[in-house]
Amino acid sequence: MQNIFGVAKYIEHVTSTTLNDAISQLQTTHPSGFLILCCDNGLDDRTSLDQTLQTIAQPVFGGVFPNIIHQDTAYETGMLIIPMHAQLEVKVFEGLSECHENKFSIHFAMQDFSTVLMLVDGLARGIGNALNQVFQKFGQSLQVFGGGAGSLSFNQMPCLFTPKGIIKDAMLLVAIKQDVELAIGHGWEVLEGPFLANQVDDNQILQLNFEPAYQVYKDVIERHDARELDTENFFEIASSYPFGLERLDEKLLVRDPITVNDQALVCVGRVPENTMLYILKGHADSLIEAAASAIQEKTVSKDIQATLLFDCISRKLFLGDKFTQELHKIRHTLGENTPLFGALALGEIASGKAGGIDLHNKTAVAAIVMSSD
Amino acid sequence: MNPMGQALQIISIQHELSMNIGIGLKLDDMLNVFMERAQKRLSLSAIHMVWHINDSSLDDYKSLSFPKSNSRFDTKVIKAANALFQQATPSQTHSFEDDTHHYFFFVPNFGILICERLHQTIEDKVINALVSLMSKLATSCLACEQHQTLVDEISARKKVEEKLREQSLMDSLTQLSNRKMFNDNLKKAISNAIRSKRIGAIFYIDLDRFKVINDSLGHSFGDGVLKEIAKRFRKCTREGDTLARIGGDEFALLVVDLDNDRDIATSKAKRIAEKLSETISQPIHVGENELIVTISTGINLFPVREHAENCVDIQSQKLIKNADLAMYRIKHGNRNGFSFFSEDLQAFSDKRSKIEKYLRTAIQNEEFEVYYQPLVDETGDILGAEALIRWRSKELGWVSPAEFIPVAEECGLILSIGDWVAEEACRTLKILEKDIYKLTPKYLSINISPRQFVQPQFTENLLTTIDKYALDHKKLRIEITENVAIDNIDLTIAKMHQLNGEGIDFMLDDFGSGYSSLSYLQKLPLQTIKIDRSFIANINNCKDNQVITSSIVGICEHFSMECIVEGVENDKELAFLKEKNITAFQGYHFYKPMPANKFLSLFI
Repeated sequence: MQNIFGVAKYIEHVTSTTLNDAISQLQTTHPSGFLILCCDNGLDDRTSLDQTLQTIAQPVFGGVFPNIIHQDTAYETGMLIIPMHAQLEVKVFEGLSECHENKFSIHFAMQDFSTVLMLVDGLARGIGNALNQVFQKFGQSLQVFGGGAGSLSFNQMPCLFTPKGIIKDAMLLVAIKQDVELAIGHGWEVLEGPFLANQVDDNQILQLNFEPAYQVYKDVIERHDARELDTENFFEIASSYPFGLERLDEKLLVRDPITVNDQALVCVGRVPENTMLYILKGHADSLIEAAASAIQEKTVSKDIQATLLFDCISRKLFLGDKFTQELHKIRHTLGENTPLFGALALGEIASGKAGGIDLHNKTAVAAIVMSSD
Repeated sequence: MNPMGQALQIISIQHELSMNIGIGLKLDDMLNVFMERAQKRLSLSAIHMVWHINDSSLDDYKSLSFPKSNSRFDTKVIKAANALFQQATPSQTHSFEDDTHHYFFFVPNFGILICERLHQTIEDKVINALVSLMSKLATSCLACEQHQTLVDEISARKKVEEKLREQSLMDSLTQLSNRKMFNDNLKKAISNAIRSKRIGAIFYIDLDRFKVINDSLGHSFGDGVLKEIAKRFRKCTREGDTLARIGGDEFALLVVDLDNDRDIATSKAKRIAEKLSETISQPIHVGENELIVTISTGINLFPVREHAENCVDIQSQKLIKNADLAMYRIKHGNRNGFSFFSEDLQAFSDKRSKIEKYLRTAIQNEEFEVYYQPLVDETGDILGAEALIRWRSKELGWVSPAEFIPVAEECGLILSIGDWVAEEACRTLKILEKDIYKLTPKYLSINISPRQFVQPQFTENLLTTIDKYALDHKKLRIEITENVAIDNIDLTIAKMHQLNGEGIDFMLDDFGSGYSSLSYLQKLPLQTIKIDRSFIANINNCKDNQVITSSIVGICEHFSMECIVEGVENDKELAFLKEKNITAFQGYHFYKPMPANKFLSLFI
């Protein structure tokens, strides 16, 4: 059986010409579509790629991410073009920030597909509503995974590759025939809690235990960290102390606080009101181990065809040089000859084990395609 | 997690789900909010509410699911839900099959909540926390249902009211607008036209001789014709136009937004009128019958500059009145055509208004006079005379009967005028009984209009007048036209028989000029037919008129009726007519109409 991912091509300097040339070369393998993963860094003139994307005969999809992954390397520049050899259908939904109930009309011939790759503009509002709509549509019948595209500068720019060019504030759904196994791991541990998030506004935590959220958070962090937390160093320190949402399936859903708005903590992703939150701490070893063991759990005695990995950019920021170890360990777990592609994303998406579709932070989500032979 | 943390977590879930019950009054929306939160907080693969569960049929229930895509139920699931619901006690059950856990919660007096989770169970303490929420959920669901029932009742009532309102603005036979809606839309159209300076038009359409169709083929046939005509007219209209049936056989079309330029608007309106005529020129089939209908159309453009100072109400009334006038111009001509309202029609209309105004005081001002025109036999001897009203108005001078009689008919003054003429004729007959008058006429005839004839007291009043002068009833004859019979043939026949019984004879005037329905001749108890003057003029040279006249004379012979010709003006006409079996002649060749004193002097 042919692999669903063909041999990937890496371009170091991304221009319309190099993209065009790469696509032309890959056309000889007769792909059914192209997955394009591109680094934000060095991609200065995005609109110049639009024309090339529009001329590609096959469906094209992908995103611009802070880093991209190929085998055991995280690239900070360049582009990875992966020819696809599977039945697939690409749909683009624009206006993600205005997403409300039933905004998008999502139609797929669901009986033809098993998996959906979901890429979103990671800096758009409305991702929670979009996930809700996708869940409403697919329920448990399709496995959903993916991640948030965008720039670490947190400036919202065109970041999704689509057949009509690079666009922003959108959602891409790519239905794929093959089954995947989803491995989700983060390795963060409870530092303190629980705290009741008694007052929230979408992705902002206003109060914890009926007190201003920032003050509660600050008090906890300063008890465990020698540094004094203020609004200036908030991102740097808080990246080591994310929140964990307590859930009944006993997996903590990680929420990244990224900034302070008055006394509110602004997170990547929605925090439901009245949930129990823990403040988490991380150790490099446990983080590295968690990602690999989640994959290990899903791949025991199985032949792996390929893996698409969405790892969080903030894990790399937290792990620093040790992030290479995480990739090495993942690759080692998968098998050195197994193709591994992916991106360091702004939020990771995955269907939950017990139900629902979750937007994770600081987590590794691997979609593992097994060999069917 | 430590026990305290776990307790807190359960409390927070219970609290949050409780807070998400009862948000909104629409059942589906309220349940969606609750179920979405429950799905997330309880890490469920799906959650369902099933209600209106029917014990006798497992297929008969209502349900709502989150996510919507998981709305199909296994029969076993429904059976379990049904069984729990029938127990009707606050409880829950659990099942596990195909790696899926189903938790069933009894929602009192309402239904069953089903939580579905893949692989992992939900802890008992969480389940217990959820059970305590079900009463609150039930209260909200039932409140939503009651609210919905109320909303449904209100909306059903509104629908009925709307339908009634629509019906009050619709013509039930043709499903076109009725007069009220036409008037409402016309007022709006006038306002818009004044604002936008776009000219519109109204078309006042009357079916020609529709009464004959109704009388001869029956009302249900007539209704079929009206429906077909409405259907055809509808094809000539655009969106925004109003087509209405505003009377028995009267239609009106309101066309907006023709043009800014009056000439272009006029020419467009003309094309529409032609199209209306064309569309009904094709034969109409109703059942096995086929007939061709023609229409007379009056057109008036709006807004009218001269009426600019008037309010929309007055403008709309004037527009309709003027279109009606334009239609009547066609009606009184050859029919089957259209006419625009114009200044001369306005002058005509103004004159009619003046005539109506002065007619009202004409009797008391003694402005009327009865003239008599004798009828003679072939030797020239006077047989009788026709009483003819004349009006010399103090303000308007001599006004022709052709001008004021239609106005009097319309405004109802014909009743008092008719009574006055009858009284005058009787007075003249009484005078003729005096000894100084020799060879008095056999009768005087008076013209009775349809409106007079249908008055319930007509017979009684006439007999009272005749008897007041103690006259032989045979001395006064009544001249009617076919129009009298058209309105109600049965009533007409009954009244005529009653008067015949009292010795009063009837003469059918102007025969040949109207419908000339031979069926009327057969049905009406007539003694005399007066052939219309139009057939007599120049009869000696006109073969067609000779044939028609001879035929009518033949018919009279057949029905044993007297035949009278009117409008005889010269020797040549008389020479031709003398060869026919004609009872009496009337015309300028013998006598012109003359005042009573002159008429009386003929018999001295």
